[in-house]
Amino acid sequence: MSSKKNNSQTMKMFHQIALKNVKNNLKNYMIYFLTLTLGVALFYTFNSINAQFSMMNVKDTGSYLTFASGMILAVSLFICVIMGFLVSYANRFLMRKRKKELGLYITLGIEQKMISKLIQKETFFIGVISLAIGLAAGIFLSQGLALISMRLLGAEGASYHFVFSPLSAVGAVCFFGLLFVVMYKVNNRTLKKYKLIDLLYAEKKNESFQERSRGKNLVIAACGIVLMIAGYLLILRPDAIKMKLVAIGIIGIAIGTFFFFWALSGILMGIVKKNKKSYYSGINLFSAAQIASKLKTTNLSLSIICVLLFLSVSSMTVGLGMGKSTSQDLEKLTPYDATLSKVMSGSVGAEHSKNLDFAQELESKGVRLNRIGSVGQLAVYDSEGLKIKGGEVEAVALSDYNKARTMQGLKPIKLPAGKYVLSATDRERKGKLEDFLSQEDTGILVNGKTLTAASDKLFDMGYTVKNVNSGDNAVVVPDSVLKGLTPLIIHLNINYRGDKEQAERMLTDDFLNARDQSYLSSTKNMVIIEITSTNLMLSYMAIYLGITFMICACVVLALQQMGEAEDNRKRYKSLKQLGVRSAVIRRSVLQQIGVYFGFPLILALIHGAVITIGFYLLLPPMGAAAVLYNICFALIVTCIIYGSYFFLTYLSGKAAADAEVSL
Amino acid sequence: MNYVLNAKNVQKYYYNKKNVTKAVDDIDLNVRRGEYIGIMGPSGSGKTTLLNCISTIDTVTSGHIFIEDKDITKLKQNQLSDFRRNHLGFIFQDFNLLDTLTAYDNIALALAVIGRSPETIEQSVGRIAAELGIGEILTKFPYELSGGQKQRIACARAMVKEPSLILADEPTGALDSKSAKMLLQNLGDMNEKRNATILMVTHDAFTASHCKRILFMKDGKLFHELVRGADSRKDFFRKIIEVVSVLGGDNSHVI
Repeated sequence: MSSKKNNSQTMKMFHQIALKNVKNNLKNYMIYFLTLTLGVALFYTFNSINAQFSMMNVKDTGSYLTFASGMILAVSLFICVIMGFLVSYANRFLMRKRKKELGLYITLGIEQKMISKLIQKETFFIGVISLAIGLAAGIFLSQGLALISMRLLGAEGASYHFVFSPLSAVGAVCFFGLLFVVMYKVNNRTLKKYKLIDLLYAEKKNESFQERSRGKNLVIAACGIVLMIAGYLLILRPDAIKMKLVAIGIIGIAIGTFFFFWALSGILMGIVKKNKKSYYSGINLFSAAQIASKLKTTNLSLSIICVLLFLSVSSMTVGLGMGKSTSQDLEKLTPYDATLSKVMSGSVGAEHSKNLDFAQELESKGVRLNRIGSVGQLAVYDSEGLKIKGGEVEAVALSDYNKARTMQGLKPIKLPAGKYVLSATDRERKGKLEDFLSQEDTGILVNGKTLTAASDKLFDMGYTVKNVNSGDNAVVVPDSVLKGLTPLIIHLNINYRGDKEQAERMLTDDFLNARDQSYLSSTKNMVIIEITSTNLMLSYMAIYLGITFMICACVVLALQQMGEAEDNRKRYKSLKQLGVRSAVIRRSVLQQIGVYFGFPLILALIHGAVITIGFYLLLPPMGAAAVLYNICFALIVTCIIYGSYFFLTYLSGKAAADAEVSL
Repeated sequence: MNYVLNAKNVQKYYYNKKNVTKAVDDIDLNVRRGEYIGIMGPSGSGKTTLLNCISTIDTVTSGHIFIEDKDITKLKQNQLSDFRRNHLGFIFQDFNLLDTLTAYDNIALALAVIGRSPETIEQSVGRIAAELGIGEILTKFPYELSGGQKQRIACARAMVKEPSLILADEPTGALDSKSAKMLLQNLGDMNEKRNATILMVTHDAFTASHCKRILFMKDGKLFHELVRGADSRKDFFRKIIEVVSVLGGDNSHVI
């Protein structure tokens, strides 16, 4: 009975100790809190897109949006695993810091079981607080994301209202709850493995420094720079769009980065020491030695951090751009409300009747075209292997082309006999065709007749609804030229009449009932949703991954700096005894952390800029404003996340600098 | 009278809810330029507290401490830092060298923070290294040095800027007897050749016997004073032991 009472008293005491420990160690735990909170917030935000769609009044007929949110869930599970590793790294670090404290508890005769209870309690406090704050932040952030999604999807009739996704909240609680449980188990195991002697004598042993000669350092740095530049050139090659080359380029950059950091401290010290005047001014020599020793012992992890940051920055700028570029052709891809197509030749349509009036054929199969909307037929002919500048071009009759133009509200064109015009929307082809038109000899052979260009102007009108910009490359010729040929495909473009939603429903229903494998359909609505949801998914995944990479890099950087806080405290104490002012020491702390955080970031930004430029050259141009928008977004995210970790690290360094002096 | 250090009615009390602990209780202390003075006393006698007050690291409860005719009890935080930088040199029991700096840079730092030019630094460090016989270990890092070597580097760091007053807190505490002897030899030389003023706190009679004058403290008060005068070091040592045994200090249980 009394032992039970004792026990409950002890537990109460431990409860208090646990709370106090978290409070006292708040500066150390801040990194931990920040990371977990960000993790939870991101998880919630990106997984709540399903709920966001609900307010957007978008019909997800092709379940593209469901697919997108599924993909994001998969990515967030992957990210959860990364977070798990990160947290256990941070945790191991904290445990190492607390070895002495735990050792003391054991010496005082407190049972291991009690101590693991203490750790359990601490973990619980941290977990609950960071989950709560993270969820709150997530709910807040997801409102912003919903607004962005709304803009990206361009959803008509969408109105903003508060969104909350219970599913992703439960998901966040589950996954991170699991994470905490795993964390506690790991901690407990480590604790059991420690021997008391290890816990009490956990002083860091001195690392030995090997000085490299200046020549060697320069050679290593030169190798690094050459590798990086080679990587840049591979990525920036204007002709090659091969992912393989880009991958090799990135590997080159990564290895170059490692070499660079390997030699960095030696070279920096060489430069700094050369300028004796500034080296022997104030505590500069101390700051320099601090930075050099830190760089020297962490060059491998610094280069990994730099590469992570580089991937993070470029995934944000490039990912957003890729998303945008798929959606920016939207106008060209959806000139009508719908296009129905019939394949005339090939295995599917071979035995088809040679009925060239597609509309009539559809009507006879029960598609109520006259009620759905106005239609215009466009037949595409195989121009018998006609190639212009290496690319095949289909042939279209002038009357069909003009009909297509009038349906878009454009003026019909006139074409004298024996002449043709070219039409294309694919950016790459457009350039080539324009080159061709500016040539002297523009003669081509269509259906046995030689034609010349009517003008050197290239028309860029899309004439079907489709989900990829496959070109709509066509040579438009007078109708008489194509006489006797069988079209390859017949397109029937439709503009809805009256209520668009109803018309679309009628079209899809009737079309499904018609059941003919040689018929294809695509509607504007579907194309828009497909493209924007792909865009959304790409952008979100890029941002999500980018932010996670950045958090990883920041956590490792911050912990490495804080890991030395104890040693630094001693060093700063010595400086103070020498009569160095606190403000001067604080400045030195800022310099040290600044250099340590700054070098990888600057190098990563340079790498990122190259990759970004490379990709934007490769992607269809999307206007400076859009590019600037993406870059600004990436920079702002970088500033906020990097900045917060930098600030936390500086705070802990400042605390060491401001500590009381005594003899 | 030109005193380097002139402490008047220095008191340092520690208060808690119920009682007052008088760590330093009304002490007067004068140190002339070029003196080599030791403060002895059992643990808890207040010698380290007194040293902390003199070294501007702790503040007095009442009284005044003049160093070079400047009342350090009236200085503000930053002024205290500046004062320490310009006028005081420290030698600690655990050396307090900066582990990321070479021995040379450790010494040079003391000069760099008071704004000496690189040329002057090079000269000064070279000279003191020659005097202390540490020229060969200047390029080494602290972890490559023995305790005795480290303490001599620390000694060089304290001496190199030729401060008004050098404060040493148990400088031989962490050294073996041979290293301790060597260090004390160095300190004596510095006192003789450079006319350095040294104030040393120790509880070790052998270490104290190298001083020219010794003050004994007990319960926060000055208890006795010994001046070496023309005595040999051995005689002086014997006298110290006598006082220590009366004082009931560290050695009292032996007798």
